Amino acid sequence: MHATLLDSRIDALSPELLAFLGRRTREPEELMQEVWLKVARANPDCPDDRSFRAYVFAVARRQIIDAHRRRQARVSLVPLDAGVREPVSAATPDSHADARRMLAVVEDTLATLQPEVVEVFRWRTTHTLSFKEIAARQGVPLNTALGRHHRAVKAIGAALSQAGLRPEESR
Amino acid sequence: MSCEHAETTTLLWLYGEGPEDHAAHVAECAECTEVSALHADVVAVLPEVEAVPVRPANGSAWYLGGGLALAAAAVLVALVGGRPAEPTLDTAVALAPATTFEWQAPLSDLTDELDALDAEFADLSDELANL
Repeated sequence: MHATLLDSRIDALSPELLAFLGRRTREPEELMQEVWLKVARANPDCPDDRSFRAYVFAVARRQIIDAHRRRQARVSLVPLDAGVREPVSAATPDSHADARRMLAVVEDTLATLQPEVVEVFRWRTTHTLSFKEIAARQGVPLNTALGRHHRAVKAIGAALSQAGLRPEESR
Repeated sequence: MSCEHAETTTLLWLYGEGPEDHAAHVAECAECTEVSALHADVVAVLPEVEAVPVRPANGSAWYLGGGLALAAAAVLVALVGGRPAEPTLDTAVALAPATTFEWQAPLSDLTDELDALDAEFADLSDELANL
């Protein structure tokens, strides 16, 4: 993609991307820079603005997960009550209550799932274990570990949607 | 699921374990886009814990930096049978990588050692000259 075309597409999409990240993370500006860096490096072959937008948001979602993973890698022995940060919608007065509601939904959902499914989810989201390592620890094929994780995420996503706590959809 | 990647390569890619160029497929595939949106949204609501550096002090004790007095209530992490502890999300415990690098000696000690080596080298040079 020509540099000026890439620049103009980035300029056009930045406000929407920033808003998207702002609904999901505490550091939207930082993450947006990371997204643009990845996009610029990859220089994807996108024939039109629509495909470019789809590419950018795919990278953005991955960066959200990556940011969480990086935080978990440096987290230590702190109880959540002592160290929990304001949720992403910190501007609203109910934000802290929302964070606790979200946590309750997550825990309640996990309580309904099979132990091996919960185990994969907890290991992948609170440790720095890779799916390969998790599969090895559980003695199952990689795809089984991936499927278990996806099952947990699907259940939590559905519960969050039902409780009206999932960030509004945006592609 | 009709896309063979939706619950395999796309998940690996999302969590940083798959090929970087898989982004192009995810962008073009409605099913993989849906999966990635779901995972990003769920991970986004997981509790964030203040990052507090933890490292061994004097090789044995652990201390918590960052001025968090509440860290006195830190949760003990138990390792049972070589498996990682299973934290609940309301304790949000993660094992801190204990890989802090520390200098073994202050730089002033190194300077002294270099001076001593210089002196020894000078002595050896003198001896060589007298042979």
